[in-house]
Amino acid sequence: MLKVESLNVGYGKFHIVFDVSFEVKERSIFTIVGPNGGGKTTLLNGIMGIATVFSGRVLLKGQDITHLPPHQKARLGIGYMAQTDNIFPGLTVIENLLMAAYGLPESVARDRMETVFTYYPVLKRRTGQKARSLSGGERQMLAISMTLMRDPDVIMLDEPTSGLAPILAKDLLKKIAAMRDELKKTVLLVEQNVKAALEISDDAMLLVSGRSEFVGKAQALLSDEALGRKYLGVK
Amino acid sequence: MVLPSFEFLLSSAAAGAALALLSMGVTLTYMTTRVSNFAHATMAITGAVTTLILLDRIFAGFRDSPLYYGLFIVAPIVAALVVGALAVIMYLVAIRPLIRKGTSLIGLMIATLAFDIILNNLLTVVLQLTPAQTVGRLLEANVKGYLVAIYVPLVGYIYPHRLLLPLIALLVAVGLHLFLTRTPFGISMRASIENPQLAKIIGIDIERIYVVSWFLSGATAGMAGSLLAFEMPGISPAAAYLYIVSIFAGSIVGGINSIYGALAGGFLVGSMEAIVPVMLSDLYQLLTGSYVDILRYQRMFSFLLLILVLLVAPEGLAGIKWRGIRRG
Amino acid sequence: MVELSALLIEIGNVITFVTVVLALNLMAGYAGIPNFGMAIFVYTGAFVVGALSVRFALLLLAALEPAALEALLGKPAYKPYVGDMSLVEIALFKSMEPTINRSLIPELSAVLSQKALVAVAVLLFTFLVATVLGVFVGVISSYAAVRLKEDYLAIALLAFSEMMVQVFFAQTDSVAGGRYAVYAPNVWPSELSSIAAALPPAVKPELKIGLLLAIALALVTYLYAERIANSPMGRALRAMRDDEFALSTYGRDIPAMRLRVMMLGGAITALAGVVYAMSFQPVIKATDYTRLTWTFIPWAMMIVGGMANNLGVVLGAVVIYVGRKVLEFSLPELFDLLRSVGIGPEGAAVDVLRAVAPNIFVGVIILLMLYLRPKGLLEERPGRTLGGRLRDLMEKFSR
Ligand SMILES: Nc1ncnc2c1ncn2[C@@H]1O[C@H](COP(=O)(O)OP(=O)(O)OP(=O)(O)O)[C@@H](O)[C@H]1O
Ligand SMILES: [Mg+2]
Repeated sequence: MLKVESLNVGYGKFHIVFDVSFEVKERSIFTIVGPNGGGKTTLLNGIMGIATVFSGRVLLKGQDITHLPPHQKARLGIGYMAQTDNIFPGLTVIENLLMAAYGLPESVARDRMETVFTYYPVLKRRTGQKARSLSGGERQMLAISMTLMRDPDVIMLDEPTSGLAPILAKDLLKKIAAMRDELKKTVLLVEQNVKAALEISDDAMLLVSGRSEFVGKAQALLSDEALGRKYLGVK
Repeated sequence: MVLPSFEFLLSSAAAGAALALLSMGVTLTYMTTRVSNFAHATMAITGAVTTLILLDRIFAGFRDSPLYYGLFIVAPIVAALVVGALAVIMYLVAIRPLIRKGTSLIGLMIATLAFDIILNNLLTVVLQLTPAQTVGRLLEANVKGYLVAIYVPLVGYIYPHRLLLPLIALLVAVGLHLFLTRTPFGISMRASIENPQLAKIIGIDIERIYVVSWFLSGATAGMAGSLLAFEMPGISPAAAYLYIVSIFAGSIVGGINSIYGALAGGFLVGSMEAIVPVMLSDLYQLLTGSYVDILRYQRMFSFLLLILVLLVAPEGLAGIKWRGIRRG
Repeated sequence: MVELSALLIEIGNVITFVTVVLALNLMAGYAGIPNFGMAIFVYTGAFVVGALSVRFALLLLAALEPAALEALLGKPAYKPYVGDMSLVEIALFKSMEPTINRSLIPELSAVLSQKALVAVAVLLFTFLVATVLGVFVGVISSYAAVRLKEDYLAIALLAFSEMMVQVFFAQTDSVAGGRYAVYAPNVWPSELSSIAAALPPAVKPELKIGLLLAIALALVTYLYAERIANSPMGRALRAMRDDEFALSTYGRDIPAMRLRVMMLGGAITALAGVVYAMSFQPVIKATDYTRLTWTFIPWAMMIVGGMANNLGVVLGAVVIYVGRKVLEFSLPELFDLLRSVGIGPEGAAVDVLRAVAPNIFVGVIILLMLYLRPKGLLEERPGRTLGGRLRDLMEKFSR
């Protein structure tokens, strides 16, 4: 579904991610883990086209989308929830959601919004409210809902559980698994909650200092003691 | 003058309304593309020149028919389209390539200054080569001579066209508000101003928004210039060199990150420039019995206000710190 | 053929621009202060020449040579303008009156050329006061520079210059002539003039003195700018321009450094304005010191030459100035040529186009340079600089 071939990414002249390759298969969850500052966010930004791609390719359903502008990637079916600044605080909840469906027919957007409200009924009660007045958890829900508004094939989530209470985090990971199983989505996930995330994942990558130290089955990474001890603090 | 006449207040309001439109335009392109456009005043003059050419070439033929008054409707619209297109060309040809190259803010400002010089000198050519060389006077003879003053009880005689500028400015302000809050495109504009990166991620084509914001900025400048043409005794491109200071003053007094602030700031600065010097002259005369013409320093007031705001309250009228357009 | 003194005046203009651009480069290129208000700095010097030095000379005469002053100002022809003012009052308040100024200045010049002491005092006064005022304008500007982000600062400086020159000075006749011109006095004592007269070529001595002064000022400015560029302060200034934050974290006192550069640049520019007004443009009108001529064109010159590159900006000044002149003078001939094949402009159009073409040329050049060579003509590219090539050559030979 989404294929990344020896991608080199950075900002301006800073080179941050080196020669990373992996493939996210259709209807699977691919999780990227790794220490802070390892370049996970930069990698996603590179895929989306908001960081500089120095070389390499990004393929979506076999089509080379490496150098398409971000808004076209979004319209082609990539939903990306950024790690920070992922909602418009000055816009109301409903405006945020409508913007995330910008360009779609109004009726479609309204339908999607109703669907999203079934996942997060809280948001429905806040539609007229400015997003800046939401709680941290509500903001996170809004951000995830926004990624779903275009009904994308691939969903990229950058640390969606950060800032959530443990129970909510667990619940969210369950919802992400349901996205794959029930909505038939392909998910590219970045998580600090390594163990819980790898448990629901099919494949995984370990990214350290901009280089991939491991690519393979999530279970394999989970059971690799050496890597686990060294980088992930699991076990 | 004990009480200012209605006519005087009206012309001050017209000056304020014109500046409100112009400051708003400067703020708009600053908020979207971060460019301080020094060519904005010359764009307004382009609107004025467009109007004069329309008058000279087309409407002069209808002098004796009621169609003549169509000028007041046709001219602002044509000027808006012409100058709007010009602003888009400026953005696409001179500004966007530089932004893409990573040119600094100052580099972009210089680019707008360069564009200003080019445009201003081209206007000089156009004006000097227009057969009726003093087009300003042509307007006076043709339009003012034909304008009918209407008697309003208690107020006296007024020229209806004087109401045009405040009215249109008000319409633009209301229209802009509705556009920004009610239409998806307007909301996406606010979204792109708040966070361009997120806007891109969720599928908004912010380049299109930038182009539209330049068009709107140019169109309102053209409209303001066109309507100002009816107020000015003559039109000279050189007037733009000083007028730009007032425009920026309005924009900064309003708070450079607020569209509504710019409308308010522009109106304040514009009407103040018209009223305060006259008041001061009168006051001086009242106190000393001799007359000084303070009006010729009128642009000084906008500069003083600009400096005062920059040094004391850099956030301007809009006050509190925020990014994006205020609402509600 | 162009007349010799006209040519020398053009050379004087170029040198004035060279000095102004070097000063601008110090402020903008090294210190990163986007001085969009250069015009007020240049006009400050012209103002001292036209408005202050005359009054000072008259007051000095009042103290030392009352008879000479009486002969200058006590004319019946001035009566309608001055009423029963005292001579000192006339000197202070009426010497800029256009009618009086026009006849007063040549006579004052004649008196000064005979009174070496007064002339020298006026000269010193002029340079000193211009320096002080230039420094003062620099201080005002850097007061704003400390407080404002660079784009606001640029707007504020542009507005400041525009307000002072085009509104205050251009509108107030009694201060420095306003829209009417005032004239620059000749403040050279006869001894100096006769030395200069002995120098070839055969033009007015004061023009020669002016040229020498302009060259000296440009040279000193250049050497100083080079020293600044290569000093630790210059490197710090460059670092400040590239990354203000990085530098301030190392504890450099940026406001103080900017202040120093603005004071220095202000003084240099005002002095350039003095020499320009005294020697090359002795008819002083505030309305001539426009944003186009003294702010925008110096910026164009700096950008063409390359910011923070002293040799580059000198080259830029020459290229732009000569380019504008060539355009201005070759256009009519070009139009003749075009007309001969039936497509050229005629009549009024020729003059209008001739007036605007040099300005449009500068605008277009700036846009092209910003896009194609933002670092200027003399951009330092490894191996492509003169020094680099020389080194390459030497290495070749030594092998
Ligand atoms: N806009 C930027 N410009 C330059 N460098 C950046 C920029 N954003 C991030 N970096 C640098 O890139 C490196 C990788 O950052 P990135 O955000 O990709 O890490 P991460 O793996 O997502 O970390 P975390 O787990 O903390 O989110 C860091 O060293 C960071 O300082
Ligand atoms: Mg991250």
